[in-house]
Amino acid sequence: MDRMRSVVDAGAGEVMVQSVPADGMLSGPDRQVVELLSGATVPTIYGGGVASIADMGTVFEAGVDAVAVGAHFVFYGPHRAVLITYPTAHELAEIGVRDA
Amino acid sequence: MHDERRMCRRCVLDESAGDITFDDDGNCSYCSEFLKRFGAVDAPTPAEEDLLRLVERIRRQHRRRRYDCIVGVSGGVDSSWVLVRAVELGLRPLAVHMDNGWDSELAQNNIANLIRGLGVDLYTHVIEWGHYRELMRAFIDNDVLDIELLYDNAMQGVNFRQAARFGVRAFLTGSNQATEGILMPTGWNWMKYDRRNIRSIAQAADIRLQPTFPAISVAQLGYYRRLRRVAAIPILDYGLYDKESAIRHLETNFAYKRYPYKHYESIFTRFYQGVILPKKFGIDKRRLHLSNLIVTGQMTRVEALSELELSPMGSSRLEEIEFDYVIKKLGYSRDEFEDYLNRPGRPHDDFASEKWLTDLLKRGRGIVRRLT
Repeated sequence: MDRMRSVVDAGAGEVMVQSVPADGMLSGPDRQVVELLSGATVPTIYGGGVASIADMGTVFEAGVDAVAVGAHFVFYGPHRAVLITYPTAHELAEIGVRDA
Repeated sequence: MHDERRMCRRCVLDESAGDITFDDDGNCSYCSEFLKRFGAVDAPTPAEEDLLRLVERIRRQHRRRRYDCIVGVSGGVDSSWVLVRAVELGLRPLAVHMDNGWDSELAQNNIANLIRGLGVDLYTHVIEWGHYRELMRAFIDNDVLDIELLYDNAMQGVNFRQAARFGVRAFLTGSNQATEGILMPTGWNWMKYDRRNIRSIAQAADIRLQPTFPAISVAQLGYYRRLRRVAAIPILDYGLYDKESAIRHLETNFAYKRYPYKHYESIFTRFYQGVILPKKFGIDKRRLHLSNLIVTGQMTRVEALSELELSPMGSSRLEEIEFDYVIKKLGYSRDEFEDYLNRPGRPHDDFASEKWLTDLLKRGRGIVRRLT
């Protein structure tokens, strides 16, 4: 928290935090990091562990402005097949994201 | 440029097909052979009931397995339709895709929509692009015809390996008599299980074939077929395969986007068939495909001839864009590539090959058949 405050004080206009332990694990977002970001005074981006459209919804609900997604967009199914897919406009609308 | 070539009076194959001959009526040996083999295609020999029996057998064989069958998917109509049919018939397929770096965005989307729509598992093998590119360059620099041997061979390798890995004995393929029953003319491609040929052409360009490249040899094919008992089953030949209604079904149910032409799911395949084959080797693969449609009554010869009037790439503007894209991705200058297109081709059997082995096996089977 202190570190984030210091970068914001130093003039950062936007903060992105990537949870390294969650990165690529498809284990769901790192609650601690999301909470940390939700208290920020500048726009924020969270990344790491996102495994579903619902996970993105959770992060947005916590007050984070944007979500970075890797593995979930790239891998598919039990064999981690490479299949690059993005949520449809309809799916995004369901978690309140418009004009994507 | 090749107008002086004699053309079949029934289909549109011409003397660019290596050993084509014509009968007294001017009909060619290729479409005649096809018609003799299959008679009227709208009365296919293995019928719908055979298919149900086959499906029952496959399910029985794989009762204890996670999957019943392997389906190789490219994003094209035929393989997409095989996957849909497999699921409709109650099979549990594992879809397998090999990405060689040339998938069109359309193909990617088609595969994604299909896999998610059907809820089937997918395995992908992404070939290391750096190595694939140097192999492609080796084939180009050595002027051999079948650059697609790299993809076709490795794709088969991936399919058979996945079949063995999951103990699956049924490998459903999209090859079919209705749209590709006429035999590939001699000299239009190379034997697809020729790993030695791939290795030897690579060596000629000082490239070592990496063990991670999933190539398959004739001996390995024999291993998978005989010892692991994996059978390639052309499932679309059971019952009538109506491609147009298949496409419509895919469009309606799986947001499928159709391609302007057969095999155009890969940017390189499109460029290969649209530019390299016609310009460097004087081969227009559309002739084969259109001839199939003619002899199976899906198109008239007049329609086919007018389609052949168009450029194989569709439009010259598209050709221009794709040309720049492909040579940049392969790392050639425009002059280098123009020079390549103007050089004469070099035969695959200038390099080490295992084609003699398949020829020998074919002859052996012929002798056995005559003796029994």
